[in-house]
Amino acid sequence: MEKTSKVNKGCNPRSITIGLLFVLLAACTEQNTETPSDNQELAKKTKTEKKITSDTKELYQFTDIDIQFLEPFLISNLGEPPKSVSNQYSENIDAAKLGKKLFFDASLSNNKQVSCATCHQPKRYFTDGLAFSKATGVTKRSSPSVLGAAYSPWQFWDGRKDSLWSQALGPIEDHNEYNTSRLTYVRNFLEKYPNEYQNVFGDIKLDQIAQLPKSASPKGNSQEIKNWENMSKTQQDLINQVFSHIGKAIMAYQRQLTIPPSRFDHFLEALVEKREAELPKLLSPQEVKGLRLFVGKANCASCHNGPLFTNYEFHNIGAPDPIDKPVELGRYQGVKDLVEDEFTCLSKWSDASEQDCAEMRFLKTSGPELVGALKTPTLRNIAETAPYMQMGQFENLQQVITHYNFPAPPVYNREQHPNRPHFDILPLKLTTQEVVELESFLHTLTSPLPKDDPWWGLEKDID
Amino acid sequence: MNNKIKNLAAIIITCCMLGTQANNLAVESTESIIKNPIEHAVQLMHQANQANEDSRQLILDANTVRKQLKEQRTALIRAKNNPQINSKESQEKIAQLVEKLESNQTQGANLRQQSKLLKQQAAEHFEKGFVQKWKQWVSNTEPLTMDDTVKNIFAHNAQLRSVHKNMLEKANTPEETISQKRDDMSLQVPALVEQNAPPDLNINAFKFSRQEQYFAHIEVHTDETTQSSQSKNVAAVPLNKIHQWRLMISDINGEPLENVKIQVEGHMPGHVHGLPTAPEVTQEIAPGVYLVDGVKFQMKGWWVMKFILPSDLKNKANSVDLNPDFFTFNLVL
Repeated sequence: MEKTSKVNKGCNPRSITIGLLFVLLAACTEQNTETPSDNQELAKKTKTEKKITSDTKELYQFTDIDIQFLEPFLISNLGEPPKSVSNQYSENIDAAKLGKKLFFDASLSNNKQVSCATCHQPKRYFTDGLAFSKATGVTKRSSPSVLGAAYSPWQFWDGRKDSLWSQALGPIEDHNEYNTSRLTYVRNFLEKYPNEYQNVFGDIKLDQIAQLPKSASPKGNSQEIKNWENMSKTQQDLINQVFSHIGKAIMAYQRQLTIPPSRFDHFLEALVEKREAELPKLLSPQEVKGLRLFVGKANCASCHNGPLFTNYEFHNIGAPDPIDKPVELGRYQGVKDLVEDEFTCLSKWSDASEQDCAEMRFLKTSGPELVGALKTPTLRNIAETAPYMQMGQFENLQQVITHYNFPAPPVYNREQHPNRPHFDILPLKLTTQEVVELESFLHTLTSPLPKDDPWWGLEKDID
Repeated sequence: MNNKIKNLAAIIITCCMLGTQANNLAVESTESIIKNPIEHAVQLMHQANQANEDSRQLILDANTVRKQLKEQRTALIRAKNNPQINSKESQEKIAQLVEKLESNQTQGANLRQQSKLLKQQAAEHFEKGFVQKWKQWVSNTEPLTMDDTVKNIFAHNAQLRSVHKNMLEKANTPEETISQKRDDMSLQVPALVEQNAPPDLNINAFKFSRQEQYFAHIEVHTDETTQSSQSKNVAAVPLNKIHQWRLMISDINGEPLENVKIQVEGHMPGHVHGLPTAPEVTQEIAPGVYLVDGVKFQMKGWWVMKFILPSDLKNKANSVDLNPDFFTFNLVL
């Protein structure tokens, strides 16, 4: 208080006059000569530069609590995938090796050109770069990456499968994907991989399969369905047994896929290990600003968290429905399909006891939040896996961020929606500059392609 | 005449109130020698309900007074315009009514507060009796929490349902929901936990039912097979993991409520979403001790768990109540 009053006292009319004189003098000098003006510019510039350096310095300063908060995002904290109760072969290396062969084997598809790797290409981080995936036909959705899928309790965008082994069986019978029948696939598989099969799963009853029709499936065309229905329960069980084993081998393979550390992980490691001097070399100021936005104002981390940048939950973020398609029912349809599914944890083909299938036993089958809700995708390698959303509604990350920035809620279609769809996001109101920063951070989540990791199957791409 | 009766009623009510207060004081002093806390709790509950009813009467009465006051004030205005009418009488009446209104309001509020306190005491005593009686099953009396080692402090923002586009312009940005800038953090993280939970929220693991006919207790159920995977902290629920609870229900006499079908519901008040699973009561492991299976919380924050009793359960008056009684437990995980 005293100090303030002293300053006020000093501010008498006389001192103001003197001050004005100085200003006028300075103005005159500025008009008449050039050198002082240059000096002023220089001073101004230096001042700005100094400000930038101190701002940048602050940008790279993280408190212990900040680091504690960020540490769970480290890829090295991912650990092993959760134990699979329904697949006793999930950790079996021979099963995984067989699974890898199947993942890349196009000869077992109807046109001999489609394998899992058609839509899940290793060099594209196990995606295909398409809005609607193409195999024998065009699928209904964009194929998500399989990296990290082993950690999710639910598979597919709408979670209509409760395990990776059950998921793997879907595309085989889908007429837009492998376009083959259950029986055909099983027969061709057993002919091609008899030893590998026997080695992991035991005896094959090939003679019994030989008697069966050429093709049969409970999900195929009318002839295939008819053939399937004409088969005895024992025969059906025999095929389903091998079929589920095939899925279990593919799952065992996918569980072996690991994600190498990205630039973001190296930055975070350096933070955790207090190697501060290295930080500016690992992420640029723009990327660090993006990181701060990611967990801060942009609120991305509220769903995209943990080492895989996902909470494995279902949300409706209102990605616009294409006009020519039915509305996205998301998880609402997913749970309906799950209840009907032949190959869940609760099924005969699961290796779990009913007691162990808690997620299925207590499956939430109703609730407004299910409508239009889709699984939070991982953001690992996101910059390399365009287009985005379940139907590739957004071509690039900028469009994605723009959607979050000014989202339009899902349109309520009274004919197709069972109830008003839930809407899970709020406008971010980021500035243009912030959008750029956030996007630049997302690029730091790209891992190098692990060319020496045999599970990734990049050998062919190197050749 | 009418006013006189009302005044008399007010006096009687005040006496009742004083009586209750005296009673209350007596209760507190003899607390140490209470032999049957459940019985005592029931008595306190009766008193609480009486006080509540008295309060209600006073407030209703106050409403009548308010109406009379309005009439008198209109009369007074009329009197001022007409010099032939004596306004003094009107003014006196108004003064009396104002006094009565104020007194009713104060007494009503006091009684309501008293009723609340008595209910609190009743719950405390019932809990004491319940714990004594159900010793075998009660291993935790603390409010449920989430394990401290859980670092995941994220909670997503699901505050909106499908709305008109213009609504969004009025919505807060996540930045505006950053609860408080922390001195120990340079990151400004929105959607921090415990959002929206009112500070005076009752998070007790013991609760009377809505209609106060039953009493229940919840705790995390760990048996030998699950113990190793769960926290040693008996009050802690795990994050993102399906687990079991024990729900113990007694009637107002402390006797187990047996063989009833209980419906389980849950939601996050701040998020407009329910539980990620559909938990069920799978078993009655002992009389009145129900096993709730399939419980899962996918995030920290304020959760509400509701256990609904069958609607055909007979209430105290032995009549079938169509509104089912239920228990609501608040959890701040």
